[in-house]
Amino acid sequence: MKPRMLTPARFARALAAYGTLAAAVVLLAPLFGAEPLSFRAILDAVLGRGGSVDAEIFLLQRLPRVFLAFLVGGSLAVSGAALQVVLKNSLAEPFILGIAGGGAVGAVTAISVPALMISIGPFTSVHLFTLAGCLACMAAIYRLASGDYGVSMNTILLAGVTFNVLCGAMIMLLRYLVSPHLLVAMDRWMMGGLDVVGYRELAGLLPFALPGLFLLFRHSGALNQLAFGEELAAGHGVDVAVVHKQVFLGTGLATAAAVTMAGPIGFVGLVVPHAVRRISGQDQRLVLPASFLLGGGFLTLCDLCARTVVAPTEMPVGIITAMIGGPVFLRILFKSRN
Amino acid sequence: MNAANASPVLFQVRDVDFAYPRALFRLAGASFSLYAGQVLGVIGPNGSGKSTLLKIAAGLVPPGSGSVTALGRDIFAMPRRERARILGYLPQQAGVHLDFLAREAVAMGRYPHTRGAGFLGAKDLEVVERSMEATDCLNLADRLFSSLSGGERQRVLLASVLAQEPRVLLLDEPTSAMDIHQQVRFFRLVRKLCTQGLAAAVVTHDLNLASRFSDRLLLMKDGRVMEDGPPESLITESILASAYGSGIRVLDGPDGRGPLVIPDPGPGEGEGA
Repeated sequence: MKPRMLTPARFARALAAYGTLAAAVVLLAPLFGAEPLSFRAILDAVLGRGGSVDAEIFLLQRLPRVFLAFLVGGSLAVSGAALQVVLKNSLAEPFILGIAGGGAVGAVTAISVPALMISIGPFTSVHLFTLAGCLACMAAIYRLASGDYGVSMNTILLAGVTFNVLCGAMIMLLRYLVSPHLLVAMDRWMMGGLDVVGYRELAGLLPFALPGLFLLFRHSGALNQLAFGEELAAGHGVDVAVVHKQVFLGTGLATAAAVTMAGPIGFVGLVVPHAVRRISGQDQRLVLPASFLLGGGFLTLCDLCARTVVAPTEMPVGIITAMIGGPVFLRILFKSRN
Repeated sequence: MNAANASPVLFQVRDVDFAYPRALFRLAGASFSLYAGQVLGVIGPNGSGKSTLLKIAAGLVPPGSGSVTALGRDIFAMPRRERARILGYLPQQAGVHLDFLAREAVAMGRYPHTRGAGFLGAKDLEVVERSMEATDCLNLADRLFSSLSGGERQRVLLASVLAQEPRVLLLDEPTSAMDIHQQVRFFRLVRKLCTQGLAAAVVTHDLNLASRFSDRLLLMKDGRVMEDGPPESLITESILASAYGSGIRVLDGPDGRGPLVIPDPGPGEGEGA
């Protein structure tokens, strides 16, 4: 497809298309699952004509889970899209920041030390330690990368990779020390999943995800400028230091929220922005919101597969994102070559 | 061409000191002024501080001491977008890692004039087309920026700077990858823009272009301004030798429009000795 300049009309048309797709997925996905639901019973309950088990499963089990999948997938995709621009690296994805590594150490610590079992509101110790790990890693990387001229994106990239390695070593150490029956729980966390979720967890996630996403969307126009290098962007009137800082904080918060609730779900943050760019061009003002919608829809679909393919049990959704995302990505690459 | 004192001062850099952290290089007491209607050529050997001086002038890095004013106002106290409507800065290097069209690249220059989502109106698009026409790159408009040659990229990026509609141009080696026709075209364009009331500072390594197209030259060496004056008084063998070293010969231009600089092949060679 020949790229063209982004106009308000094209922007609106494209977003409407992505939005329709996303809405269809969000509305249809909760109707399917291990337990077949009666659409009529759900409708009756929604319209206030008496509840039923079907309606309860739909409204209290599946709907929050679909929302969570959408929010996590969208957050990861937007974070990946923004990072690919500021780090000038098309292989960048949210977990390159080392934030997920910190989260994993937190989760593994919480699992290995049952004495740490606490809970605040809907959050278990695994949630809380994951979030704490993510935020601690973020703060450490931010401090390391802050220098005379704002944060250095290069340092962030190197520090992030190093943190991931360090965190990997700490996880190995913990795994070596704990009693073997805990290893299953750890492995399961590492595979990523969206199980066991209600509205309260979802609400608890929003204070992190929403400000993060807001910071990223706010700078989507400036990200276009950064594609031509920091110096030209600065010449055009972009406050590069502020954009760098806020994009790092934004991706950090959005990623921390996603990892806390769903574990490290790979591939969404890498593949979805590339798919959007192939379909809709390079303008980040469109790429960011479109990535949110496509990423959300994609993870919701993957989670639907995770819930249904091996029903009545479930598969880790991280396996599905990689198994669907990988070949799709290769096909997009292959098609654009020809 | 010598109306330096008659034209209004648009831009002033005064007594700028600057040192990169943990580096030996320092800029010391550098000053220059840009006058409406005039081109200042900035010359000097590699590492003499030309690019650093221009970065400070463009507001990319704050100086250790000294001041930079545009239209009488401190550029470091101005909002970024407002500054970008006055100063058009073209850096030495600007790569791209996303597949934008050349026209989109030029449209980036409208950033300081837009608000909100930054969509371009009819007037913006007209400025974009006009800027591309001025730098002779309309024929490149629908090509991917990444597929352009070095000289073509420079023309497109210059158009993006012109699309800012700045009063002052700060251009860092804008013609380094252009062929000679495009170089001449480019400098003629800068001259033409200056006759319309702009002021320009152009860093270049091509002493002949600098000599023939500039009203004044700024010669830098070791982080200091060594000379500031008209090309005729500055392009001499002794001054250039003390700035650059040996190997440079200067001839009177055949058309009376500035001296010419030619490389000296050294003794013996060419005489069959």
